[in-house]
Amino acid sequence: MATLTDVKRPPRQTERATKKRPRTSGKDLNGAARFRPAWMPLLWLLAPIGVVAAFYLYPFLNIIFLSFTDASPLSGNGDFVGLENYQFLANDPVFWNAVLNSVVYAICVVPLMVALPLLLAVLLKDHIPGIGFFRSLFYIPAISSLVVVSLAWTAILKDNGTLNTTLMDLQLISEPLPFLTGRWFLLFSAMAVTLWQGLPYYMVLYLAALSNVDRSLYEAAAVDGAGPIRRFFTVTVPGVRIMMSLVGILTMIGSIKIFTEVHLLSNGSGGIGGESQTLTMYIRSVGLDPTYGSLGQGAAGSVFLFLLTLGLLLMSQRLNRKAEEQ
Amino acid sequence: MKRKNIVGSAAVFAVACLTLSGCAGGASDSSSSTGGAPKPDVSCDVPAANLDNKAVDTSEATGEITFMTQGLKGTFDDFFTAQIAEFEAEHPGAKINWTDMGGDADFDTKMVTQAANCSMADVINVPSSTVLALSKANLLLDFDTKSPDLGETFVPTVWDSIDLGADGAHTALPWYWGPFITTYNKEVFERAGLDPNTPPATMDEYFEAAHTIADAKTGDYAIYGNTDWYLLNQWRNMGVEMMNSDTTEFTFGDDKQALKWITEMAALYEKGAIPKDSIIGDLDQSKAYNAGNLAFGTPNASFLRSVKENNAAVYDVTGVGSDTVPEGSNPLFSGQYISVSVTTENTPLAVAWAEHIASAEQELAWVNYGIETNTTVIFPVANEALDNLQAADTTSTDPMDQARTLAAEAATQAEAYPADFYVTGAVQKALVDNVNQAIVGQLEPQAALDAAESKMNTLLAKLLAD
Repeated sequence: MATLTDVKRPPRQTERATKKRPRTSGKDLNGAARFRPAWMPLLWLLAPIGVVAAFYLYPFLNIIFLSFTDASPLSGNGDFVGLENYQFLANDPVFWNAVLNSVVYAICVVPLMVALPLLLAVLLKDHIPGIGFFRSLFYIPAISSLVVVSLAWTAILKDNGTLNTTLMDLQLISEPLPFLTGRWFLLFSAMAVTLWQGLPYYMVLYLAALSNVDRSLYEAAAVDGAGPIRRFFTVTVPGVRIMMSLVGILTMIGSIKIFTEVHLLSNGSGGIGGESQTLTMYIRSVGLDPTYGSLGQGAAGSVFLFLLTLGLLLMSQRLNRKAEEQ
Repeated sequence: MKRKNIVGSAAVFAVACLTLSGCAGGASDSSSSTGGAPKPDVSCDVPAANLDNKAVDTSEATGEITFMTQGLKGTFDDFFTAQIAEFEAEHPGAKINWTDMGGDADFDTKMVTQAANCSMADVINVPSSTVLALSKANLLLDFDTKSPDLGETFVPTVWDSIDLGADGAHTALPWYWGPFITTYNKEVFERAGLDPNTPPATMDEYFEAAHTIADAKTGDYAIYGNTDWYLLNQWRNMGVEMMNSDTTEFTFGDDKQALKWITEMAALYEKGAIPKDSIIGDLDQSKAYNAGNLAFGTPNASFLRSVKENNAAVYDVTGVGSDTVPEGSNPLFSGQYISVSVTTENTPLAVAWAEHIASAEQELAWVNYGIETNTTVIFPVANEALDNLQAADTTSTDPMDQARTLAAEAATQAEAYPADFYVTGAVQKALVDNVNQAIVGQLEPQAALDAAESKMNTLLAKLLAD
């Protein structure tokens, strides 16, 4: 007995069979029809595939390959050394300290970077006179050079900088806080720079997401007696959940790879004794030092960074899914 | 489900690309020596003539080469443009393209990346921190073979120390340098009750003066905390045996003088004689010195130019003195070099230009240019140039003139210090990190020395084994 699907299919198959695509010569074709050969889409894909293969896939595979060799910056690919580089990392306390710093960085920055731009976007979403000016003003940090931003923050955070001077003038502290020299202080200072600069960028993303939230939902919630906070959690947050997830993922990847902020605030030292050094700083220092560097160890560190990022990402997705289910 | 898998795979790929692709190193096949100099492990072809045992004939130097300097464009454009024009006039058909890479902290890494990618300039200005890396990788031309007798041009103690190529080959020509001197703020000295006209002559006097300034509690600082630049020189001046004689091991771990240096610095830090955040502060301490409440400035004459330009009042009260070199010891040479890339396709012109720019005549011309334009205080390393240095005005009270007089004296007696080539990159970081932790009280001084020595020897052993 024929099903409905069976009944519908034959005419389409027949149509497909009778309307064979013209192959090449195209003498009797006009315009775009000349470019219809089946392989043509693949041809268009060649360039992007080539770019991805050359600039992403090859370096990715090369890093994995290098992590099993004793290559150095000036000695080519080196020889196969098995898991030696991974063993070196496993036994290097400096490496684990760097991992800890990067993870702490991500754990602190991600939730703040997901929440604060959303709050800011909620404040700036309404179309009131002059709001464009404030939106532009808030966006300035995002378009500033991170190097310049970090230098400016260094001036604010140093022992005799604006922040310490103000706190001392207000008699809140008796001696300068070591914002740039204390192990955790330096990391938190760098987080502040990351948040300050990243906040407006993600705020713009949230503004776009907020504009798609149905206004009638707010009206309905208001009619039901929901106040601003209730409306935020029951209408706004569910409405931008996908964007929050995206911001979380992007911030997670960026935070775990944090380099510039800590590097610049500590003048490349990673803090006193290198204690605030992050994983990417560690990878750079062991991998790229011209004289004593080991590309193999640096590559092994990169592979670890990849797995760590992936692990954290999967964990956050699982948490997200659980939250959605609840 | 299928869509989820696709999204998941895409996410994994994206993460992989984002986290790993930025760190890919240059790849190349290993290769062996072809006789003469060993062949470097690079992917491009190395002209056989650059590796054989024959000298280069520079009489027909034509064609085009690139000459790369470090942080010289913008200050010395007139000088080098004139030099190049003069050379090109003397060598019809020759063209020198001058490029410059800023002298930032990443210079070494950038240069090594260029070398690994075979994109290094034909003639390069190499700092002491990179000479060892490039020489060990056989990426620099062997001057002993290609331009024999060239070594006679330079101060013997300096020339003898740069035999860093394969089988002790000389791969770099000493070019210019700035001797260490002492710079200090006379007013800070005076406020602390010190004689403003008597700078410390030894490291003991240096620490004594620093303690006096700290104890005076005038609100002044004695020493800037980031000593990366001159730690090695100060240790040498205290007689620290940094390495064994054949430079195969670091030996400072049990050195009493190294322990003393750290102990003194830790005591001064505790007393507040060192700005706390300067321990990892900007390498250039001129900003801190220009504030007028720091006793000791950067121990380099060219530093004074920055003080003069940014705070004339502090410049006027700046005193200069000789470096704290002990009796019977010579000033430390730590300078810049000229090398030729072993991958150059135009060796005759590259060698001719290297010989020209590092010649006594040109080194002297550059030094004099620095004096006449008041742009810098640098010194040559060629014997003849040192013999013909312009007599400085010894009666002048201007700090730059005084610094030039003292530096000129030091320049004629200087000797290279092998440890200067080895205490770079990760080795230097291991030393500085541990020393800094001891200075701020996070580590005992002896524990810091032991940890630094151990880490540095591990890295050195790996380098020598390669």
